[in-house]
Amino acid sequence: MDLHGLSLDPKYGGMGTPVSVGLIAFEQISRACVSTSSQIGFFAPIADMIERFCDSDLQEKFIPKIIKGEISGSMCLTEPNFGSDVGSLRTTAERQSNGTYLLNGTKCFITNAGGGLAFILARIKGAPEGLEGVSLFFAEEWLESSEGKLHNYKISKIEEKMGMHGSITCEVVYDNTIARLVGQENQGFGMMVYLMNEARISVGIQGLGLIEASLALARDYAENRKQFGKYLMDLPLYRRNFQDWETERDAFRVLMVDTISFFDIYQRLDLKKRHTEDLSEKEAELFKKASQVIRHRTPLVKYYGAETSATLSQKVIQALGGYGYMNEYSAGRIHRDSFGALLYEGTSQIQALMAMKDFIKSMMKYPANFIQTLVTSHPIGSLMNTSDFDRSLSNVNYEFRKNISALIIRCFRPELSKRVFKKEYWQEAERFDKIMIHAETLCQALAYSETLSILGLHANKDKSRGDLYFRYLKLVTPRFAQIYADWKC
Amino acid sequence: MNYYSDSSEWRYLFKNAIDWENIIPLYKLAFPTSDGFLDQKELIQFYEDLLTSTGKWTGEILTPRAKELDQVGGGYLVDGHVEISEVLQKTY
Repeated sequence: MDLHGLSLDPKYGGMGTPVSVGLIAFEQISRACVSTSSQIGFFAPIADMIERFCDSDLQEKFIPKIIKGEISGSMCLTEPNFGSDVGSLRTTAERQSNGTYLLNGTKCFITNAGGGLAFILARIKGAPEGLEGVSLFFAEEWLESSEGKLHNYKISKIEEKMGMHGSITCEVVYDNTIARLVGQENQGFGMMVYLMNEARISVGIQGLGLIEASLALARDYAENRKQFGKYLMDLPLYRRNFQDWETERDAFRVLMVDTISFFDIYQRLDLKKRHTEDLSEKEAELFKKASQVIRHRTPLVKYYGAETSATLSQKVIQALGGYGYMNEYSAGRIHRDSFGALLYEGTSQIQALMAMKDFIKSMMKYPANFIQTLVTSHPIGSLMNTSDFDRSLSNVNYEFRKNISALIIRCFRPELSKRVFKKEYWQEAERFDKIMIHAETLCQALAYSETLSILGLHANKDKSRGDLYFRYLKLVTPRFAQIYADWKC
Repeated sequence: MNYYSDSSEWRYLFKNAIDWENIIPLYKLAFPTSDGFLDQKELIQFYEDLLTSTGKWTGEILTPRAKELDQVGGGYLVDGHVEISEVLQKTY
């Protein structure tokens, strides 16, 4: 199966399909085997990074080989003492007279580090501390010499993990590794953020694959096993639980596919912009909208997909009774594998903090607007809406705004008469500490709201989709109530 | 088992939830295309056929490999580099 080149440019031997097609195929692979999807995920995305950020000689040399499955790559960020805190990395880079750099340091938890190619974050000697001093480098694992192939960096360890055994997680040692600078010095983090966003959306897709795999296994079991004279699926509690799980799967799939669609536009136009800096007026508008949606959605889909796959894959072990605990069935493996998505590319809690930061940032940009919207979004205004879905969504959105406003006012304690409309007031850093403990519940509420909004849009276009909208609303209504109760604590 | 064609939800979302009107022009400037597609409908049908193929391959070939891959692992370390296990190599 020639999967690696599905969405890569035909001039390198790819099929040139839209990214949406490649990502749906990636979901299918994740459903079949999430470990394999992690390995496959370091072919086409590495080619995309080379096409987007590297010079044409590297593009011509490596992208055709990636498409043929001969070589792949890795993204090397994490170090033994620095994970999420990328700005504290200690791998160094020293410029040589021929323009290349020598890298020294150690990276850990690197998926597919033995693929042959590597994008590596390091700090050039003398560069500023923190993220502003981080640069991105490209290195090959092997160097050609008169004595044959020589190691340019070494894999010192393959980690033994609780799950995802098919995905190769490595420790890498750079000892005077020869590397090329990608982009400009000290601009590495921006490029890495691009890749991390793509990777986080891919993790959301892996989550969907895991959910589909788990529930298909459970459905097959429940439709064939009889207890108390009935098939499990016909037992009321079992059926009710199952309906809830499948509702969440179907709703999350809708969120994910809508995100994939925006990501396709964002990624395609980003590539055009980087290479030609020439977007038409329509393309510029599309790019702006897609960029905003992707920025907002990325932490939400990563969080929601990873958390839901871990939760539902555990429920499926229970749904299979004792068999779920036996290795004869794959429920246990799928659950073990689901933990990876909770951790890599930023833990769920990191995603929640990112979502909160973005939300507060957009709110404090125009605090007066936010407060005014609370008044204008009162459900009384929605009585004019003709659609049931619009009216229902309007209520959900109003409740969300009312409750988040109450939380913000409680945490920030603004002096209403004096400073609440001033931007500077909201930018005082110490006020954020109070709200951070609610980041995870805010992320959940944002994910549910976003999903409902898309389901509502679909239902407005096609009435047959209304059933999923109302099933999902029923599922998340008690969750919203719980979240709002948490915000009052 | 086909992970695409056996799922009415996937088929529905592929046709109705992806913004093809805006996406296709970013990949194909005009029809007929140099690779012979007469119009957008025909091109989308081709993409759907591709996903039907990958759906069959993942459902029938890749899924049964997952258990073995879990048992033997993706690779092993030899003198500072990774040798890919036979079962993973089949997928590459």
